[in-house]
Amino acid sequence: MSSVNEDKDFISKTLKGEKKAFEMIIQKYQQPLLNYVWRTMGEREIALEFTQEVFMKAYYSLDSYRPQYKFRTWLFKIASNTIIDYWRKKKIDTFSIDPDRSKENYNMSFQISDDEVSVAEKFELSELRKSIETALGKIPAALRELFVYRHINGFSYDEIAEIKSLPVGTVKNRIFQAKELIRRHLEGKN
Amino acid sequence: MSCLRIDQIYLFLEGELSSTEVSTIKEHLSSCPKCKKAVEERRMLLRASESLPVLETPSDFTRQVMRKIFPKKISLGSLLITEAAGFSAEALMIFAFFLLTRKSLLRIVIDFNHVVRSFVLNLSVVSAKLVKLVSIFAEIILLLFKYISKGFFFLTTILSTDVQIILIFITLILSFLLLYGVRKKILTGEKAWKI
Repeated sequence: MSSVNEDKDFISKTLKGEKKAFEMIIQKYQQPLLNYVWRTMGEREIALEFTQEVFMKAYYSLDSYRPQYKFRTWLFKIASNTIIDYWRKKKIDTFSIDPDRSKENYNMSFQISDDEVSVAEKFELSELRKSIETALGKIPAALRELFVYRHINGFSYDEIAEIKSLPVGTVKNRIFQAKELIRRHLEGKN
Repeated sequence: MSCLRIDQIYLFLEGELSSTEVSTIKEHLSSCPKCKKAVEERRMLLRASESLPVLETPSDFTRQVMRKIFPKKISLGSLLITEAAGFSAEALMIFAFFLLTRKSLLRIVIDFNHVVRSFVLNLSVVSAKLVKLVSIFAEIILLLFKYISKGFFFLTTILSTDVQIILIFITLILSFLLLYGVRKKILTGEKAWKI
């Protein structure tokens, strides 16, 4: 059974009152969801709490889920909205929800610079991972979220666009910005 | 072909370009060391990003979520059974205690009654002594007032009326000065506090 069909089966069983089916959904998605929340928010304890909250919200609104959409994108949309609500309350900058700032480019050049510092020569792979983790915490929260979707959770650009209700081009551009901002941090330019 | 754009490099590495675009880029990379180096740099960045450490979920995570969604409800039946079990256990413990101490329930009640009685008796003795002490203290105070009034009466018989008036006047002035001094002390204190 494909992953999408398996999800549909779990959902219909849950809606019929089978608790075990929802347990299967939790077991299937807890790891990717927790890692998305953790990498986006940066704190382990908060991540655990938020992931539990997302599953609870999903359970209570399961009857509003429409099977023409992927369950995975629906679930991560709930997670994303939960995080954005939290950021709004904490007054953390979230330009992904502010259309006026969507053209911001952080003076990002699309051309390869002649004096580009070699990150590959500067770090071993394990060091590079640690430096990326540090750099992730320094880039804007909304860019970080998109980067996590793409390069940690492995979502396609189309899926991210669906989750965030943004055009695919915008998503591609912002993830490109996130990667180059991380590179700048690794080069030591920021 | 001119040099690659950085966003193009990422799309190339992520497999987001068409086969025609890929072959054009590959051809360019074979002849451009600058672009080749830029591609390798970003390839490593993506490789490292996609292999970051993973946070493992706690082993009881699913159970925790399920418990939050479906909190356990205690039915009236199970509550009554629990209460009955607790009561039976207590009754059994009392019975075991009687068996072990070999005392009858009546004997224990009588012993308990003795303890309460002696406590009440002791308490009444203490309270009687306390009342007596208070009455003695009141008598002393009354005697003191009696002798003070006798002293004043004696003074009025030996002093003339003029002397008595002067004495009363001096007493009033001294009282006034005393009050004034106390007030000033208080005011100085207030000022010091404000500063």
